Amino acid sequence: MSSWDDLQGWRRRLYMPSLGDLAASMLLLIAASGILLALQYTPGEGAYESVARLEQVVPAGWFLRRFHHFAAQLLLLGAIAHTVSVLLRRRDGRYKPWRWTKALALLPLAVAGCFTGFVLRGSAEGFDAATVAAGLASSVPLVGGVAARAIFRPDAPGCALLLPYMHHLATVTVGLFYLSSEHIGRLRRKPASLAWAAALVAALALLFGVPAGTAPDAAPEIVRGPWFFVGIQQLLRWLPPLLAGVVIPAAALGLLWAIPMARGGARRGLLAAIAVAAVGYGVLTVVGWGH
Amino acid sequence: MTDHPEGHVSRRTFGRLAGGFLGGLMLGLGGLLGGRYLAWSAPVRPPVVFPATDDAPIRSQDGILLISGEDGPRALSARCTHLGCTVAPSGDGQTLVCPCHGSRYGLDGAVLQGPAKESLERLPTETLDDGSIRVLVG
Repeated sequence: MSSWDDLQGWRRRLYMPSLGDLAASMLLLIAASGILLALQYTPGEGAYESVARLEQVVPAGWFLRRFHHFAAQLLLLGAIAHTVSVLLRRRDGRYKPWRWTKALALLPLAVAGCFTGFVLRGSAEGFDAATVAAGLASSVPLVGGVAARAIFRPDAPGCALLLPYMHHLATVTVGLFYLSSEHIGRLRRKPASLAWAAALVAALALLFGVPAGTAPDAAPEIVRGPWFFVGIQQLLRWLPPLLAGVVIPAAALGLLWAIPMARGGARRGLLAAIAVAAVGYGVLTVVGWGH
Repeated sequence: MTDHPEGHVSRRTFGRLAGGFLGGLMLGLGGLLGGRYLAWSAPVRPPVVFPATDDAPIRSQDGILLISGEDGPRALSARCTHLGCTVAPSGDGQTLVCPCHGSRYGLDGAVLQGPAKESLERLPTETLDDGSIRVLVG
């Protein structure tokens, strides 16, 4: 534990952000860059062209797009790291159920934000990913049809991306800001955290590109979903959609959620199950990537 | 608090009952209308027309594959029956492949390899006077 404390000491001396501060900073950076991107992006039929325009024509458009992308990936990774660090540090298992629920809700929301962002590229991969998400939703008994239509409406000619765009800008954003409101409030006293976070994202944006995908009217030989869904995509080759795409991910979240309620051997069993599931998902992702 | 004669309902109880009734009514109506609202979907798409000038063996347009055969043109929905990705002809043009999860179909739309279980949807076609082919969708 002392090495962790040492690390935290160094972090504070350099005014570097904690995981919570980092996530809150990312959220602010995502919102700022997102608003700027929206001024040059077209969510309709010309989405793919408008992304290409951002990358190649609009001054600094490439940088904003990459900045937005990497801040979002870091928010997702930060949410995962936050969950893991809480699990590892709070060995006594005493978390307030509502706070733990909020911390966990950040995971699917961050995934939804990154996923809708992937869809909004308007590439062939983006359209197929949205179709698969709607297909998975429709596999749920009773509410499936309505849920699918709430995600993606391919029957809306020319504006099929409007619903994902709405979720990207409104549903996900409102949810993320609500869940992170405490951390955002704390940022006011730590402006250096925001500066560190911005510098990190800017460095990533300068160093690495973000693929635009295949043109929507082309037929790619292989469509690979965003990195965090490659494991589920692989599972979908083997198992029925409802099981692979809905039940198994929901069960994993449910197991995580139940950890604070468990004590002693049950808690150790749950933690082991989560660890095995995480490693298994990593393996699935590698297999899916090589497919 | 004043005592009420037997059979008399106090204002507070009445308020609660009425509020509960109205609230339940609103929720019920809201649920009913909300469900109907969400379940409504747009009417069918207009037909897709393939021009006569093109005679490629497999043509793809607006999510429809038009495959020429000895018994005339055959139109198939390009929507994979597994999860809806758009299938495309394989390199040799002998099969139709889904790029998402690897399902494979024959040119007649029948499943050759899963995870898809059902054949591609076959769509009715009609040849117009100028030789172009009209495919009726949905």
